[in-house]
Amino acid sequence: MLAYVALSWLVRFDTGVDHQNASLVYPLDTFSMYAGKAGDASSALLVRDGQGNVRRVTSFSAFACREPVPHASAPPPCPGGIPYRYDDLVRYVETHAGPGERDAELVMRTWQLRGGGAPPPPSDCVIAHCTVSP
Amino acid sequence: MSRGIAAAQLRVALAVVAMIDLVSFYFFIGEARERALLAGAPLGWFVGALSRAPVRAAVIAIGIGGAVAFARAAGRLAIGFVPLVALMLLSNVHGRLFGSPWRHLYYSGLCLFGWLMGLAVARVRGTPSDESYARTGALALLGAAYLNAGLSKLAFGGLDWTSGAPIQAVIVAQDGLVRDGVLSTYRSWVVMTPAVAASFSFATVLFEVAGPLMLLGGVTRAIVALGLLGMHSNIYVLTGILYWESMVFLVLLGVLPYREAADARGTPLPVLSSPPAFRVTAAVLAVAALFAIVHQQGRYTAWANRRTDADVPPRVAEPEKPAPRRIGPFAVGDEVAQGWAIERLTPTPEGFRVTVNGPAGQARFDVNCVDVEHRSPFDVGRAHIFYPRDVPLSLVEPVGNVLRDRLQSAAAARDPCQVVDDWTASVR
Repeated sequence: MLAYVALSWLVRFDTGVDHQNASLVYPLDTFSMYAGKAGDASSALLVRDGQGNVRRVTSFSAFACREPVPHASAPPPCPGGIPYRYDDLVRYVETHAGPGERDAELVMRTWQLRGGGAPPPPSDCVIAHCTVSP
Repeated sequence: MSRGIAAAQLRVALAVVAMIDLVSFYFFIGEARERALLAGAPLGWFVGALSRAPVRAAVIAIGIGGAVAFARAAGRLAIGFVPLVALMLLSNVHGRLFGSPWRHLYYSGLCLFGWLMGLAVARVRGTPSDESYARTGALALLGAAYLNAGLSKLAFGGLDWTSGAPIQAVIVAQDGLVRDGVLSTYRSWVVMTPAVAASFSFATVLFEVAGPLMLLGGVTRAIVALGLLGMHSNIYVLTGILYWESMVFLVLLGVLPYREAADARGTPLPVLSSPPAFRVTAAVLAVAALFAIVHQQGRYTAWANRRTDADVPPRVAEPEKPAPRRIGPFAVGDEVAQGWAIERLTPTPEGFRVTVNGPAGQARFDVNCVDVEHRSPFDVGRAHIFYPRDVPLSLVEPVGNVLRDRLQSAAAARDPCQVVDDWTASVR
């Protein structure tokens, strides 16, 4: 057991696709997912309608957006969430292109998490103006 | 009949989980390969070759064959390495393609490795079919994995990790706090109640660091295993992240009582009753682990500082390049077919995108030469014209046909991929 712990901490590599620390000598690993500092804020990609109500992106079956929706690797127009999670949702929007029935906005909703208390009301950053269908 | 789970049942369960993981790699690698290629990431010969469908299918088939042979009888050491090596290759390829390995796929290989190490010890001791060492090896590495997870949080997040903020951040990023059911109400409550999030963080680190105590057996083993099971269940409810493999192993190795064979010898001795050589080796390894952790903590801090610096670059306004009006035979405003017209042309890392507007709304066609397994009915040789997957083909078929014909006639006798490259190079 101690040999495993020692070896897995010795053998860590930085991968080429992203600049994360990642172990590539299976099954050695430090299991460091979500181990870093949280940062002061966290965000999620959501759909906001004209009344200010938010819904999950996956609640809609068709999107027609006036602006291209950037992937996580592109320069971010808004503060990002977890890159792979964000990209999954952007891909969902791309693969569900179609006629929309009502106006809505794709927004990054951000919660400030510093201070130890309950987070203050979130702020939205608009990524694209779309029409969507449920 | 005595109660509990026998070593033979553990061995079969281990092989079954390894086989499920092997099969799941087929799909995960296919998806990661496609994403990496679309992002323009260079694959290299090793990842490029192993991620191809026929090659990874062959690796998986060999791994499954090895797992079946391993499961059929006690003490099969060499054949047990076949599924382990297959998992090793596939995880390495997936990690390189995706940017980070998927840890839930580590537990089968981890427990298999521990099992094989235990078999090796039994063989050295002249009892090759005694699987009690193997079972102890698997449990030891399962405990070591949780110890590493707890140490990672302390090394990379510090004591701040137990503040609850990391858990709040993950819930927010995964869920978005849209209140549309009982689960989302629970998630919102945890984020809005930092004391609850902090208690979850503290319990997570506590049970993870206690992982090795499962080796003590009895009530301690069950308490730690149940605590870790509770942690995984809560993570699943809060974020949708499921580590089912490790939960299965926690139940099999940690919660269920072990039915020991009459001739089993592999029960670990208390450290102080062990031979001096063992104690010295354990001390050396513990010191080595400590140095390695401090080293990685230093690397992580340097990387995190660089990333923080990079997050706030001095912003220099760059003139934005106007979107191209024409790429090859495609021009903005062109009528394509049945009321569809080209609205926008956008260069992408691997080619370009044609956005069309028509009676049914908007549709996007990606023109590129990425080396993926999917084909489109509008492809021209090696050049793809991908259409939105969830739009019925009948809706976009007239447009796709026209785009294909234009690309085909513009390329004429030339390689269509070379033509696409030339067009996009001129507008980037």
